[in-house]
Amino acid sequence: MADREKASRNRIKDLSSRIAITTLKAVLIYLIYYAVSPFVLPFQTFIPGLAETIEIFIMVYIVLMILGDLTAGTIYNCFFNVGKALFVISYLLLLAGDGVFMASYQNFSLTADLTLLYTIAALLGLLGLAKAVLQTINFMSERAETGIKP
Amino acid sequence: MNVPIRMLGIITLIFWIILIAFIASAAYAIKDINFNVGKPEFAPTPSGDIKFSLPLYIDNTVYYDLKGFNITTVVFSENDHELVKDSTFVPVISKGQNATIVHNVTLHAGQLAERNPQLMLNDTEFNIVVAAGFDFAELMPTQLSTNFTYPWGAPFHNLALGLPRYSTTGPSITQAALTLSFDNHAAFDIVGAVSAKIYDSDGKALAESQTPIAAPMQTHFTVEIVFPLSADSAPESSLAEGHVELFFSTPAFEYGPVVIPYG
Repeated sequence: MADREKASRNRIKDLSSRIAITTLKAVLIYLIYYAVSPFVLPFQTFIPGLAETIEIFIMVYIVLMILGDLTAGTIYNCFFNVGKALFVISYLLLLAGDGVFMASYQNFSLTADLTLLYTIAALLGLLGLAKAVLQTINFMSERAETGIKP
Repeated sequence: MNVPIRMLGIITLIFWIILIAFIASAAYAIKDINFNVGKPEFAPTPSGDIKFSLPLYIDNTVYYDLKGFNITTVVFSENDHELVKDSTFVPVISKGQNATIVHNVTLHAGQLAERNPQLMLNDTEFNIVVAAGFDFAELMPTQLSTNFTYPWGAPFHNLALGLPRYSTTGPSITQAALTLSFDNHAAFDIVGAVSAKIYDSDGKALAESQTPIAAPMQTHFTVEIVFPLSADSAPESSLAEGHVELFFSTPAFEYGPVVIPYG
């Protein structure tokens, strides 16, 4: 009875510490975004909707991160990690389009070929996906060794 | 396996930070490059062409070199017909360098007169597209372009011939004189000669003459073209109407024939 109570207390303690760490991480990421966003604002003139696009990305990323952290130690954590990596890759692919960035200001227009940068970013996204897949394999093999159901 | 996974995560994070820092600095750098286009100038060359000079001032105050700087200018007529295209290549504009590039485009007046004769008679506006392409930070091929219009003044605007006046000696006409006038709206002086051929109403060539012309830019020019007529020329009645063929010859260009009826 006492062991069960202790285990329950530990679980609550563990969950609350996880929630606290996740909240801290989410707040930290949002604070970084908040600090960086004034530097993004001047580019709003050239790229309409830039701030909104970045905000949506940050929001979805934070939500996936929170869900992943809250489900740490379960198979759902692996799902959310893979989902997060896939979201980054697909977001980059959607954002890249044909890889050519165009902006105009008054009668000047700027065209930049960002294909190489997008390729590097997509490769980094793939590295993130590889990490998430390796985490899943590791998690499953650890569970198989200990005999605990995932 | 936990350590390799953690290492992979750390390496990925480091690469992300480097990439984001590079993108941020590059974006700010592009914003901070001072790129000014000076006043375009049209000037005639000694060889008789018209040189279009466009001064460009580039102050590369950023951390990256601008490599393979290529400026291309395309001059279009009012109906989007390409008149001339020229490029200037600068291999590198190093960081911190303040470069002044004079980009020259030569408009061959002879070609203009030959391919677009209406430009000799009608004022119009040229559409000029200037594109500057460069490899930014050796990673991003970038192009900055702008377009503007430039008023083109026709060298023979309002080209007209007056009514012929005849001089007679006894019963026969000895010479015919017509007043040629035009406004030189061009950005260059016209110095040369006009060859003229007068035809009667039946299309028979009666006489020809050559008259020197000197019309400074932005001036009205008038000259009298005198045709000496032979004794067996047509009677005055058949000279009442007809046409004159004009052919302008200058060191810069040759233009003609321009057919103007008289009478």
